[in-house]
Amino acid sequence: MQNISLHLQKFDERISTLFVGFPDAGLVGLIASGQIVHDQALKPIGWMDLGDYMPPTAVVHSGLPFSPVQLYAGNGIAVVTAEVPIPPEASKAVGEAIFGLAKKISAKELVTMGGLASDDRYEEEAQAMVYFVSSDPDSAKKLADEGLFPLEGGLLLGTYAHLIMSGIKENINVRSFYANAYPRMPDPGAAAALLLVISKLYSLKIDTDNLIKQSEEIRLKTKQLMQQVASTGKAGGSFMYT
Amino acid sequence: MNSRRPYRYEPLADLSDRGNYYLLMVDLPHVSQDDVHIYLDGDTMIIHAETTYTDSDGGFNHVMYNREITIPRDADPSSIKVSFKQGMLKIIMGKTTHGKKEIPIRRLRLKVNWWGRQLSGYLTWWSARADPFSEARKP
Repeated sequence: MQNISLHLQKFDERISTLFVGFPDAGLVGLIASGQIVHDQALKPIGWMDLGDYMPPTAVVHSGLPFSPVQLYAGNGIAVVTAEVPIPPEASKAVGEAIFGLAKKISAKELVTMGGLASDDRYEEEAQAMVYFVSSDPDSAKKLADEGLFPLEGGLLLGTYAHLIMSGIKENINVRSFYANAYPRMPDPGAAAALLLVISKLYSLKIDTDNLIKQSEEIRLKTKQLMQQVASTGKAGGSFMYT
Repeated sequence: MNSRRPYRYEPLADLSDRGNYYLLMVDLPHVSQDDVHIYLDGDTMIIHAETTYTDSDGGFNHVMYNREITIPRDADPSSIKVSFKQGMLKIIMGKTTHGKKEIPIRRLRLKVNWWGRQLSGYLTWWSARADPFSEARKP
């Protein structure tokens, strides 16, 4: 039995957008979702149990244990974030659970955030490029009109791919944003570039300057997780796996 | 972290083949350029750095980084270029051309043709030898 379960506290807030950020190339999804939770002062509303997909795991912060997959909400948004790489065999079930959550809280839109592994990023002095994929053609046109670049080609695998395809099937708008990122190193700069786009599109106040300032501290704190992500193959290659 | 003894890390490193050169990136957060030491011992590059810093919570930290990396056989140590920015060490190594030989395709084809001609000549000779009266039957 490999059941995944959601443990939600009662909350009355109306949620317009559900953001999802998992560890991947440059840990962009994790860093970006963590920054949204911090800057929007979101409150924990629950957690996800990955059942038999993962050995019993607890993330410890200041002496307190937490589930590796946490849910936060506030200011009309919710965030799902993971502090461990999602096992590939669990990616579909996790996607189903997140999509179920989006429907349960009546979220109008689902936004995933991730990194696009690129060796060229090591040599780029400029800000990381951000690309989008949208389940809805009208939404894609709006993003292109905003001056954003569509992801021209590639293969999406894993939870984000499941969410996008579910969005098409169930007529819920799912947008995926990807920033060019270091393949095997944490890349807070790429997360900052992605968050600039998110803050503009969703009118969220996010302190990306502070994120850049704390870049070295974040890189040191997330070093071990980056090693885990790189060893599971989720960090790089010609396709994206989240 | 304990301020008396340094916290030891093996820094993250990423070596990639960029066509005509190799690019090695090493992540050394909180370190300044003067704290970094790079040594080359045969085909092993040794990177060492040590520093102290105060984190955003006001805590004092003492960190030490050590990493040994085997450089590729065709990397040219004389061409190494190093730069450092915001705790990220960037090392570019050119490639040597030692030991590489181009295989000429045309020459191979000629060799096949030569063997073809030998085989054809041998078959003509053998068929004549197998029928000793073939010449006598000619009108």
